[in-house]
Amino acid sequence: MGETDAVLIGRARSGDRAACEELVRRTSRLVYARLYLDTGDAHSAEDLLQETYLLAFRSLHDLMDPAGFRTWLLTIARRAGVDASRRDARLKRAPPAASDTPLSAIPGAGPSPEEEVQRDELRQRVLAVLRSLPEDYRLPLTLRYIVGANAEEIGAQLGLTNGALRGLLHRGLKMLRNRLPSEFDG
Amino acid sequence: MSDHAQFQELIAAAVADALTPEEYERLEAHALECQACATSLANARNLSGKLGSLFAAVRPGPALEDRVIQALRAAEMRRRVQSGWRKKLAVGIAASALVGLTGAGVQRLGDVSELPFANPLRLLPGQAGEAPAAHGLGEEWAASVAQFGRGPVDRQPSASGGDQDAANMAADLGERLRAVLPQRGEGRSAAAITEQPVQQLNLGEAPGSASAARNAGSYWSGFNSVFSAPIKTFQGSLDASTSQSYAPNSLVIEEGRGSVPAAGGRYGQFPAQADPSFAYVKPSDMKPEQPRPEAQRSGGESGLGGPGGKDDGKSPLRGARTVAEGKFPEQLVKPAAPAVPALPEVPVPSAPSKPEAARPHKIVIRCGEMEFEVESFDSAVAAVTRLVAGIGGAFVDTVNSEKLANGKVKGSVVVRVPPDRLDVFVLDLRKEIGKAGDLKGQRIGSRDITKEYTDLESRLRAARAMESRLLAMIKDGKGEIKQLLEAEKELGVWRTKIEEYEGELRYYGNLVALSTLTIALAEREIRAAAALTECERVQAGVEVDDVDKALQQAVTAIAESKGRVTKSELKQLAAGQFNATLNCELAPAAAGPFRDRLNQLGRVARLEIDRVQQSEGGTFSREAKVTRGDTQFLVQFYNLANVAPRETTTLALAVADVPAGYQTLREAVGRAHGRVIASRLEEQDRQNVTAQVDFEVRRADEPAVQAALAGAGEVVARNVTRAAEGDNLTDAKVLFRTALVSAARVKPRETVTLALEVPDVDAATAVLGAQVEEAKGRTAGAQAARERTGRVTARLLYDVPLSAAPSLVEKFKSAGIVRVQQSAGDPQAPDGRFATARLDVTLSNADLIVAKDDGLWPQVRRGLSLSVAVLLMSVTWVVFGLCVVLPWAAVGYGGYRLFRRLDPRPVAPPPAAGTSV
Repeated sequence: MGETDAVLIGRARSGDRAACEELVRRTSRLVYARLYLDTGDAHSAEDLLQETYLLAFRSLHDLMDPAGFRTWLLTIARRAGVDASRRDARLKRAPPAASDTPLSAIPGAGPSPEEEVQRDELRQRVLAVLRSLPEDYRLPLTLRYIVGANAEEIGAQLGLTNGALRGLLHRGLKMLRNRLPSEFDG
Repeated sequence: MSDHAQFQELIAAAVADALTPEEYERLEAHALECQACATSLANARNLSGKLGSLFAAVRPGPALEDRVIQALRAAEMRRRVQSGWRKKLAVGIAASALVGLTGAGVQRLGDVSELPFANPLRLLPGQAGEAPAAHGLGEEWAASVAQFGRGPVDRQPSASGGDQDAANMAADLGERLRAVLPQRGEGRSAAAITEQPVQQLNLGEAPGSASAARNAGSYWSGFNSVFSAPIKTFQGSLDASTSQSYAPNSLVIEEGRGSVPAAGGRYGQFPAQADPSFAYVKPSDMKPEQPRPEAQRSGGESGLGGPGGKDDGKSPLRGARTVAEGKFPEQLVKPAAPAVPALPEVPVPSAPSKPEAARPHKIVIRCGEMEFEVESFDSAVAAVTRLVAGIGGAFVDTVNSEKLANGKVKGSVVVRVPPDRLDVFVLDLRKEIGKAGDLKGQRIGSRDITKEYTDLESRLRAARAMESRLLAMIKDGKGEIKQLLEAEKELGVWRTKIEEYEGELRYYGNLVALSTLTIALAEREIRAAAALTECERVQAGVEVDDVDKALQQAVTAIAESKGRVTKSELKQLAAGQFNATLNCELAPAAAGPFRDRLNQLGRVARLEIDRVQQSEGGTFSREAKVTRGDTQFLVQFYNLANVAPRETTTLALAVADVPAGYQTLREAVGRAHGRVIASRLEEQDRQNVTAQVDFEVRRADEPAVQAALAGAGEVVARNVTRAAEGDNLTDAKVLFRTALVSAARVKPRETVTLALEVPDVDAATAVLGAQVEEAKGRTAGAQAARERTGRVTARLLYDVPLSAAPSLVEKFKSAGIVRVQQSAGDPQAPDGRFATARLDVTLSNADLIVAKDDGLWPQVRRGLSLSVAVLLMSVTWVVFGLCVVLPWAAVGYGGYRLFRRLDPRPVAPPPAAGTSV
């Protein structure tokens, strides 16, 4: 860890690339989790993640309070998500680019299409439940299960201590279990 | 919190791997005891596992951060590339400009040859044969290069003719080259010689331009040898000249002698090597000590011209050497006693025989001239002969003498002295002859003939080679009779040449062995003049009234004193001017009376008397007898009509009436027999009548004129100038330049300014005018102004006699209330009869209480008109705003909205207390 976030932000403002990269390492999974929650799609989440950081470092000087960095970053991520969906909406009006080979003609390497569709459906349902949770609970859970981070990483990404994280995880997991559909029980 | 609740909370952490190993063990232990906790743990693990497997496919993977950072870096690079091109462009332009400027600077430096390498660059070997390309060198060098370059071409047809011609040509080329080298050396600095010529010649010219010589086959190596010799000997001499400021005579002879075996040795050795690069010799290798033993050695080894070898009587320096050996045996020891007889190791691999070429030698001829003035020629010759007899090896060569018209003897003695004794001899000579005579001039000089000498040697060698070659051909007897005959003929030619060269070398040897001193002796001249004549010359200028009459009287006077008129002329010039010139010669006794007579004729304005002595037959001496010759008179008579007066009086005369004064003045001048030069009366402007009279009067009539002037008016300015005395100026008359001005124009001596407040301005003006008229003043100006307010102002200017001014001022003041009174005097203005005072009176009436345009109604009217004007203006602005400003404001607002919409930059949220994460 070494330096605190505030120090890193100060260095990043003066153009220190290493500090920027360290900030990215500390927060990218959190932002990714958030974006995945919003979009429900891993690829677009990653694209948006890059865009978010580009925007963030360009307007880093506008950040008033270094302590609010994560919140600010997530706000940018949300705006990026909103902009992206707006752009997609515009693009949909244009006809899709013609491809030489229809995607259906390529045989899938993973599980069978039916299975995949089922899993996707299930994922969307879980995501819907996660979205319905309060912000404080859903981010640790998203990080834990969707991003696959362990407790230490979650703490680093959220900037929380282990004790605080435990409480959040405990209550979040309980809420999640209560709201999840029946097939997750037992 | 109970243990159970605590463990329940730990379950979630355990599922998320957030527990320490100890906590985990405690939880496991508790689960074994507590069924509820075990179930919860299993459920949680189940849920966690399902969720984990469900989202495993969409997890970002461990490289997520790296991918993001890579993307960021790429974006940054793109931005830098985008923003960097301007900077790069600027840097590029700056770099181009810098390179261009540097190039231009270097070129310029090169053009003016300021750089040390400017000339070597032009001395590229390829250019050596092209005369026009060699423009960067000295003219001499260019000419010689051209000659050198042409040489092979001219000789091309003969080169193909046969061996004979080829050899001829090779030798010739060598000679030409030799001729080139020293010339070039002389034309340039020593530093430049040591590197440039040698390098250039060896690397470039020798192989390149001697291509014709290559046709000669076997003669190539021979050519090389003769070719290299001059280079090296030249180098050697150069070293010698730089290292020794003054070469002692003994060394001169020794070196001249030593160079023959050295050259001979080289000649014998060099044909063996045909490497064209052999001749490159660094200047640093040229040590004077090195080559001496080498030269001895090679001289001994070679069969040609060595001192120990067969001396066939043709050695070029034989004569010189015999002289040297006969008379200075001690000097011969020097070359034969080298400290190190062994061949020194020379670290130049390509030229093993180089050091012997570096043999320094110098051949110097010393000669001198001296010039003495002596009492007796014969005794001086005797003294010289005595001195010469005391010096071993010296002798008197020639004695010339000539007897002059004045009986004196002049001549010269030529003495030959050994060079080393020359200076001593000269000193002795000066001491000896200086007793009875004077040294008039002396010149002792040295001439370095090393170049000529070496050239001759080389030519001789080439000719010898040719001779032996021809001899061999004749001896063989091969070929036709015709060819043999031709060879015989050619042999004769070459032998003649050899004899010529030998003769020249002998001549030089003679000159070097003995210095020549030419002593010019001249007996002193006789000093006595034969006769001395003293003449007097009188130049006089006489001012007379009647030139013709004066001239007649003068001529009569000359005739009376039995003089001789040499010239007499009378001229009448413009404006009644007469000039007469009279030149005459009178016996000295009659000169004084004639001068008195001139004084009677008129005023002698100019008189110069010169006395000149002329000697005949010799220079002046005090004993000579002086005879007096006739006195020459050069007299000029002239009248005063056109002669400028010396004194000029410039007057300004104030008169009451200018035309009357002008007339009076003209009459006065006429009465005084004056001459009016110019007069002018100007009456165009009634206010300003002026007149100008310039006239000359005799000095005697001046008081009468002055009196007339005083009667005519009053002198307000006078300026008298007397020019410096001069030939064409006379004091007998005076020039007056008189300007007449009206008394009314005279500047006022006093100015009184009055401001009066009177009840009625017009009436007061009339009263003042009458008062001024009464005091014989005049009105100079009047102006009146009536304003709208009813105020009347009048400004009146009066010029009144100065004496009447105070009483008038008092009268004016009584006319009203005095607001202002000032008076100023002008001391520069003339005082006296015509002095005036100026009265500047300003009259005004009392101010009105309320102005005509003031009051209630005018105020209301002004207020109304102002309001209407403002209203109209505001309407104008409203229309302007609607038509011009509004559209632009709309466009600006639209643009701002658009910008806000497109700008992706987020607004920082207020820092929330207790972050919501």
